Amino acid sequence: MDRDNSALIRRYNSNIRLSGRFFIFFGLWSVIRTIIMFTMNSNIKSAAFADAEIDEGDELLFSVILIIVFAVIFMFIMGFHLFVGICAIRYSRGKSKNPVFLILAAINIVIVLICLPLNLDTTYYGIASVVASTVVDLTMVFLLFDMIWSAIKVRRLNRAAKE
Amino acid sequence: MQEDFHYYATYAAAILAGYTHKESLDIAYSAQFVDLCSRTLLSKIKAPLKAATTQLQLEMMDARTDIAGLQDITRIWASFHFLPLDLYAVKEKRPKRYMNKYRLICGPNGELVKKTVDLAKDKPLPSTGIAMHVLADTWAHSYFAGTPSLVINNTTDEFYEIITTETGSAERKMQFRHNPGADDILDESIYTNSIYQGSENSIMNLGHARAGHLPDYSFARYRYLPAWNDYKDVIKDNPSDYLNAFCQMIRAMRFLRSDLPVFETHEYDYDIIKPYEDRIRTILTKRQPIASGDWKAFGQELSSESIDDFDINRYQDEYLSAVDKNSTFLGQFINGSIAHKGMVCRQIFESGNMLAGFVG
Amino acid sequence: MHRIKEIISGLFMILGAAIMISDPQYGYMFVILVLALLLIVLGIKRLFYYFTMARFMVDGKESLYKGVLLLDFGALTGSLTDVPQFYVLAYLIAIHAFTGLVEILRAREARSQGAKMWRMKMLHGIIDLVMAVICIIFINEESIAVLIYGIGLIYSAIIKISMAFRKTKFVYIQ
Repeated sequence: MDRDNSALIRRYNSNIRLSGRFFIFFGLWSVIRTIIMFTMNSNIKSAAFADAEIDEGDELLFSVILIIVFAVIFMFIMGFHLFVGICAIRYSRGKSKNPVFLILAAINIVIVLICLPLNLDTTYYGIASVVASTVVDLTMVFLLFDMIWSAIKVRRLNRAAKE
Repeated sequence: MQEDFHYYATYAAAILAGYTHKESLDIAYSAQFVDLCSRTLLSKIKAPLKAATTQLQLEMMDARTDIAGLQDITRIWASFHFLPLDLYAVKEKRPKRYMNKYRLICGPNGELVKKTVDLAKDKPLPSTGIAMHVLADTWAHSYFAGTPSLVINNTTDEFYEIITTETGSAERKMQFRHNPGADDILDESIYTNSIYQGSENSIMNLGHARAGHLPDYSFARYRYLPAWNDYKDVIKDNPSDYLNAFCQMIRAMRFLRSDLPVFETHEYDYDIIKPYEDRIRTILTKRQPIASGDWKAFGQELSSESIDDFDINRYQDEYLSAVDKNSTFLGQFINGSIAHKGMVCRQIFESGNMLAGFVG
Repeated sequence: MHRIKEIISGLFMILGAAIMISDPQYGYMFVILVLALLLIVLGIKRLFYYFTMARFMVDGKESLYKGVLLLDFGALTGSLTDVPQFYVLAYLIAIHAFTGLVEILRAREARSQGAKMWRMKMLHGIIDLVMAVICIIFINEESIAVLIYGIGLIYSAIIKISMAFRKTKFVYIQ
């Protein structure tokens, strides 16, 4: 295999590895972010309680249910991010050839793009926070797209090299 | 490079170039002194601080990394230890800020090497020593730049040592750790390097800090990924590079003592070392942290004289007590280093690069 | 430019300390605002670095992703309305304790290398650490902790401004 092709494969594998690593960080950050917002933004806290139309005596029960629900959601989110991230890292190192993580990445792209307009609500967050969130979401889309694209390119280059 | 090459190997090269034992000692002393002439030492002997040819770790700890601080660092390191290969290098689609750093990448046989050697012509022997240090380092420190830069000097964990086996050669993955107090474990390819710092201008990203001592080990052959090479790896063959450095030093010193009419890059005196080639290759490929003993023995055999061990204090009293400091050994070294630094910084400035500061 | 930056940041520190001591409630909000702005600026700087330099470097995309995360962290910090004062103080104490420790380690290294400046460094480090420890002791009595922290901040600011006026040797090459 010539040097240029080796360099390209190295570049794309590096992209996949970085994308995998930061997909895990983005997942962790989204969990931490949500926890911080709920505990330190009184507007959101009051809105959640108001929306649920909770009586004064049931606040504790509601809080516990909320915590359990969020814990399950967070575990799912982290599990998903970890799975895709670790698979990508292993793929980039040649330790795995299973492309299932790419399908999950593609699904994630679609979900993020669909949910993007829902995040443009400035009722509880300032404009800066909304803009930053949008930037994060778009960056995550870019990251996942980069992961998928790089994986396709690596596969093509490796196939061409074998021929 | 280390004392083994800058002092003892330079001595041997000077003898082979035709210098006497005393002259060769002076050249070798001066070549090694470039690695030790810091502002701390210069202020101790009340010498001009602008003659500094190196910075101690302590000085760098306190060094500022604003524009003035960076220029100060670059002036020293790019002039004496990482002489730029091509100040007018071209790379597509890169902004000026990036190219200023890219153009400081060190490499052998650049235009500045010829200017360095030419500058030392008809000057006292310490200038020859300075030129030899700079020339030798262009071979050892290739692919790194003498300015703090993450985008140029960073490395990844893709570092493989090329080792000779019974069946040929094989690659062994290197491990790096960030423990300056610990020795490198050569047999297991475990080396110390500087810790990753994400800041572009961090001191940790100066020169070959991210590759640790590897460029200074003459036995090392390795493959790695420089940050600037678009994911292409480079193979660094230190035994071959050091041999070229040695033969080029002989050639340069023959020119400096007027044995040759002109010094040109890409020319080496392989013929002169022919009788000793096996011996030299053995020294260069021997797996040891420093080869001073071997080079010293070789040099002493060549000259049939005894080589004094390097003593940093040797000429300090002479300098302190002299009325005419320019006539002393250190005075000549100081003048030589100021002249060399001025030449290199002027060249960098004239190429449109402000990283070494403004030159009047 | 560097000198101006140091002086301005020193003055900001004194202003922040004065606000914290005179009215802790506003002081905490001031700290959160400054922290948010700092993080946003760091994020933008990292993104700028990516687009001008790091994208040409092996694994340079790391700068892009880090910059975006910093930006979001800063924006989030700025949107917080209900941060318990305890958390803010603990965060500030942690920073001072860490800075103090690093300064002490550097002073020890400087001393082993024979430098003259090690005593000043050691003093700064010890003062930083002592401030942090006293604040931890009084953390439940927030007004005392705020006062101590404010005094420490003013001291650090004075040192910063005086260091900014240190002579810079410009080497003029001919």
